[in-house]
Amino acid sequence: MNADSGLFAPRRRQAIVELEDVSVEFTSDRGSVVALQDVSLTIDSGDFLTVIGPSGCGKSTLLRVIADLVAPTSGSARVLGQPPKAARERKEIGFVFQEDALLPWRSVRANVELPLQVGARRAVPANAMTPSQLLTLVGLADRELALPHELSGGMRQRVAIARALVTGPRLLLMDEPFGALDEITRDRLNQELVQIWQKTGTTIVFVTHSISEALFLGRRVLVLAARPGRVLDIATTDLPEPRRLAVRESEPFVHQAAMLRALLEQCG
Amino acid sequence: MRAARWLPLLSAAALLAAWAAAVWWLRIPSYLVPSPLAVAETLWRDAGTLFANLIPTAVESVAGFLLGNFASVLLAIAFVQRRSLQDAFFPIAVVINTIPIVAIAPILVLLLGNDMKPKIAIAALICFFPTLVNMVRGLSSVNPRSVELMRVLAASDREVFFKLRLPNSLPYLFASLRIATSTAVIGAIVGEWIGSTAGLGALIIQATYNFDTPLLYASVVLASAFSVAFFALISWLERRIVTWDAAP
Repeated sequence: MNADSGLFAPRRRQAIVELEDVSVEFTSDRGSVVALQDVSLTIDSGDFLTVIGPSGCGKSTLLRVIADLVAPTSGSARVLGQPPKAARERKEIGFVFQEDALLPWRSVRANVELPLQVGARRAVPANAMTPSQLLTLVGLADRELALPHELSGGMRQRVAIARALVTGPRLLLMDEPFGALDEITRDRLNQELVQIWQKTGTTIVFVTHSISEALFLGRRVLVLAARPGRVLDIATTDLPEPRRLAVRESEPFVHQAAMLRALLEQCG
Repeated sequence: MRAARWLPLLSAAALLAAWAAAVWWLRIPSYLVPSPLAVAETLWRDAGTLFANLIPTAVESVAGFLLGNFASVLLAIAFVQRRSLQDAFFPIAVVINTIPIVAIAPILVLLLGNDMKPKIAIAALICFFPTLVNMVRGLSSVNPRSVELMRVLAASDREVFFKLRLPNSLPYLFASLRIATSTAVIGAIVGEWIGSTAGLGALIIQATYNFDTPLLYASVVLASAFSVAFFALISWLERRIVTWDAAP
């Protein structure tokens, strides 16, 4: 590992994502829907922000605004101090979808290498991990020639994470990446993701509909209300480090989970 | 060998035996229905004539197959790149497809003369439409998440085409290519029916008028054997290329 990457390295706090009064309105033939209303948010470098809220609260839209997949109707979004488009084109953003979206005709390794083969071939930062290192990191070094359909759902998501990290992005956006997995696989991937976050020092924004996942992973939890999607609260989680799964049975965890649940029930 | 592999051979043998027995028992004259043994004998005795007539049919169907599928793949690519082109020309392709191929055949013979050209054109035309439809579907039915992924990666239109749409279309393409192997042979034979002196189609017509029914049957068997071989070749190619678990 490079000396100046990783969680414990001294790094000047830098705003990775700045949203200012972002609203998104989708118009169709049957009228318009306000997906996000006046969302303001700053995410600093090294943060692990989880986003939770009832369905239809614009969680995914929030990620898509940051990734420049959806343009805000009003307000401004900046990533690394520039419009999201610039960050996207410099491949500073990694994205992991709920469905793995692996290309079925590419081997595990070729899928991980895809981001290096398309778009502007900017120099990958020196501290970025190589495809081989990433495959080792996600525990799939011995399956690099396998095709996606030969892998389990959990393995496919590991490949998707390795693919998202291959350009050495400053920001990793994850849209309910473990939502379709069984609980045991999900627990294991949660732990692995914490380790990956600590090793790479990448800022992560993670959308989930699981309270326990939001608390376990997030250093901060963003709670969104639905219709229209708006920020209800940003809570800092206060749990012992390093986080292990057992922390979920601890008193502070249970207490914070109850508070989150109450908050979510109140917003409907 | 697994039971499923030799069962079709067994049932085919049983059907041939039943056919031979029926011809012998009911004393059906050879000019109406020849016994399979008589057909086999003709295949052996007239192998030279049959083979000489297989060559033009094979050339025409393979050339038509290549030409028709190549043209429809190109048109499908154009349709997917330019939606307005698809709106303008797809209905015309549908209408042309509804005209029976046996009705177009004489027109093409009039237009292109009496050599291989009209047969190739008919074989090409018969392959054209199914591949066009399948290829348009294959190029456009990409996973929307994959499209978003390519956008996050700042991929150019060209990269989206070559790295996403084209590979995505291959299973769809091969599905129609497999069907096109047999339809191309049908197209070539139909073309040969209309005033031709060479090819299995011409041989079929000649044998029918001469009441040389064993030769007629032998021609049909040979045409079918060629179709099967063509189908097997394309299926083999498909297995080599489409190695992933594909939807269609």
